[in-house]
Amino acid sequence: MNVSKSLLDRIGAFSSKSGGGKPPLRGRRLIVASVALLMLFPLLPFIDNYWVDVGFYFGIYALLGLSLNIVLGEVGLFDLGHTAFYAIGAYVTAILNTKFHIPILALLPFSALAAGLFAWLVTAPVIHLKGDYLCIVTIGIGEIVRLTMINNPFGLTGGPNGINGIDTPNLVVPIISSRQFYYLIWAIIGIIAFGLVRLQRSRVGRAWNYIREDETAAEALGVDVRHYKLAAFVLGAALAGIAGNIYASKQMSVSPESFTFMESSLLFCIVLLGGLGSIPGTMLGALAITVFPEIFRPFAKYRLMFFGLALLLMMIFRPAGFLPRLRESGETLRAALRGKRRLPAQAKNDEVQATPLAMAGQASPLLEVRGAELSFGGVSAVSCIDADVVRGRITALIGPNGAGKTTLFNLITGIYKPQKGKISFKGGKISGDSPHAIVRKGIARTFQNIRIFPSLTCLENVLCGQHCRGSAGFVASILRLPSQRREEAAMLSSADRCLERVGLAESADRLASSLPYGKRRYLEIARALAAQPDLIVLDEPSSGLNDGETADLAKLLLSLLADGVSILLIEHDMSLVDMVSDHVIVMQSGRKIAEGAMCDIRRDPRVIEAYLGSEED
Amino acid sequence: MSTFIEQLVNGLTVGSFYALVALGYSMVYGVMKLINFAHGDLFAFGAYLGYTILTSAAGKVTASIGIWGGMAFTAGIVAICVAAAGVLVERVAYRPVYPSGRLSLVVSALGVAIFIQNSIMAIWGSRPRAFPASVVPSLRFSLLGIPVTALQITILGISFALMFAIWMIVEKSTFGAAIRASALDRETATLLGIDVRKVIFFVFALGPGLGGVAGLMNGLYYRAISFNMGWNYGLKAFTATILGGIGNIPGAMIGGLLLGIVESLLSGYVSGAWKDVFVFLLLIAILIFRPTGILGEKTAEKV
Repeated sequence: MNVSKSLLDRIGAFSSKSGGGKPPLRGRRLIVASVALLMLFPLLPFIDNYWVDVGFYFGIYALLGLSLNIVLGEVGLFDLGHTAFYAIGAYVTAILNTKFHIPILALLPFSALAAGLFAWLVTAPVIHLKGDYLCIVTIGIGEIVRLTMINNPFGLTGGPNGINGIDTPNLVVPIISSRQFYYLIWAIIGIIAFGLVRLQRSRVGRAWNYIREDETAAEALGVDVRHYKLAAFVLGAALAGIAGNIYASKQMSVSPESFTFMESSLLFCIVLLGGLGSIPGTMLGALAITVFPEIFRPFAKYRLMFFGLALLLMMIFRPAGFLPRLRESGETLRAALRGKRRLPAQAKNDEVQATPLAMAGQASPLLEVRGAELSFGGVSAVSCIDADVVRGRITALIGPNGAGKTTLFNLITGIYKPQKGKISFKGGKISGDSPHAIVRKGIARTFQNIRIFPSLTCLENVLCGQHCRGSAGFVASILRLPSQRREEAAMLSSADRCLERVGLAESADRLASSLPYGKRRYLEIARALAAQPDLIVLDEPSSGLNDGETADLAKLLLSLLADGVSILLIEHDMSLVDMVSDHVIVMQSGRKIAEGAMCDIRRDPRVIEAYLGSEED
Repeated sequence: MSTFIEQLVNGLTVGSFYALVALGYSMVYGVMKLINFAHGDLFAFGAYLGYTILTSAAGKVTASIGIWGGMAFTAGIVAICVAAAGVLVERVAYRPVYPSGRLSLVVSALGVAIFIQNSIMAIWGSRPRAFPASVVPSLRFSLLGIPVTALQITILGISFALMFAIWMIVEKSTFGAAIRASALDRETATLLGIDVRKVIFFVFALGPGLGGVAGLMNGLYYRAISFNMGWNYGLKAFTATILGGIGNIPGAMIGGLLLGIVESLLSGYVSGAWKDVFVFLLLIAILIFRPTGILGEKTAEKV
């Protein structure tokens, strides 16, 4: 899903100014100062219990905000029912504690698990829905949960009045006072925020951002979109469940009125006010939401009115939020990776393989398309196509507009499934596989209408290709295991090499949206190369390039071929086809009409007719 | 059997409120690709405005032009005022935010919704208000053995007339073609010389205008109104919009009527308390099995 381009551009404009080098010292000092303030706040002499409680609820909203930020901020999924997961956490704690007297803190993992499991169950069937449709489903889920709590199924939830008499937690000493609760919630937030920052800087966090920027491109470049979306929901829900657990024990009661649609809207606003995907921003958003009503307490009747107005003004004057997420430079990523402990020296072969497997003189073609057919509502886009791509050659696919070339590409890369026929790659069947699995098997692509990730840096764009060559998951990324650090370092250097290859090394830390058009094409090629494909599939790579740029492109393609990457390209520029291709396939109206070397194709009457029209016309 | 038909008539009445509100959602969504969360609260605003007119000035007006005349007069004023409010919302809250993208628009819409809801509370108070019996026609009679009120018949008549009018405008008139074109592709419509601003003005006047009248009729029908009724009706009407196929005008009507009937039958035969749970489950099921709604058309994403 494309979150508004212009919003992303704005975030981009902000971070391209501050990109490069180490994180600004001022920023780091501000973080240290705010952490110190948070720790000292309840001890200040003029702070009474009332304000310590306000600080506690700020913590609850901060935690909920962080949990929604994963779903909404990192992945860009419209979740307007997030309170449901919070409610599940709170009710699981309330029910198990009052019925079986299990201690609150022992229920903390249960609440997280229950909320996460619930999220998995309810979002798995709907996770493919886009934008507003998913939004309305989450609203529905929120309402279903709230109404179920009110309806008191099996006498479990206590109906509209909820459940009373929940114990307070016991962590060595019983946690009762406002201050103790305050420190409990903020200690939990500290741990969680630490883990989330590490996730942001990992393969997982980047995969989330690729999905937010362009779901189709992410999937086509090897990201298992469904998996990462579900994982975001499950993790976000689990964190909300933790917030629910603490909230229930602080209140000593739960009732459905704490989990309304209004509450979900507030969480949504926290993330947007703070800045999509920004952890400090989300905290600031939570602060604004908690402190605002306190400041306007004297005007109790009008305060929500003012609040609505404030949301509106904020979106007019600062739509990217208080603290938009800054993208980090390659240098920062590397510095973070090195950390304090140096990694043990690694063997060279630990590095993710940079060049594809050496080509072997095999007789069978690399890619075989046999009788592939696809029609859209009776209109046949590709009919009964046979095509081979031989290893170590550049094969060009040409034909007039609407001939079905891009559709054939989409069949090969798994975006569409053929209705008939079979496509195999390196001897194994790939038709029917999902696009990200096909990338893993060794086919990477570019798009006709460029689909880069605009608000990420060029380096991050290229790292997307590397995604399918890595394996570090959530646990490895949060714990920053040696294997993960090694993998990450290898990915970074491999991505660097790919950028260098296409002449974009200088631009690594620039935002992709700031690149001129021609360079964006090269960035797409670098991104595809980073997947270490055996076959690279290029959809009109020269469109929009001038003659000089096209000549450079031809050189690049030939050098890739020399490195053992086979190439299949759709092209309208016949001079380029002439320069590079070993074999040409001509399509018209969904059918293959000719095939052979360019010099033969040129003389083929059917091809001439397809391009120029027959004489009778 | 007669309870069944009673439930059906009741469901149709409620469904016609949903349908009128859903029309507004659908038209705005079509052109702006925005869930206008303030729409439900404009519906509530219509109800309160009607209440004020009928209980204050209307004492005199109704006395002079009769109970039906008073109602028609009130409906006219409500439609105009709520339409004006709708246009104002677009100018103040959506137009300046539009370039910043859809997420910002959602927050802006939520902000306006909160603002309107709490303005209603600040003006009319947080306790529900009741329409006095004197302004509501109490005529009831039996139609083929089923007891119906004159009000029900009127509501159904007006709703269907309004829906038919909108349908004719959107499907048959030149301006309707402009609306549909803007909904399909705003940029291309602009390039073809369609004044999209005028289209937006129109949908933001017409949608809330209809919603306001629906709010008034809802108040007259149930007699009680509360400041936060907009959330619930808005949500239901939006569900109806999705049910019928978002951005699709006849779909919104069918979705609204169907939702009203389903709800009514569920509360009559299954359980009133679980009615809304079933409604939302139905919504989710429809989105899983037919994501484009009953009348929506499948659109393939171009890769």
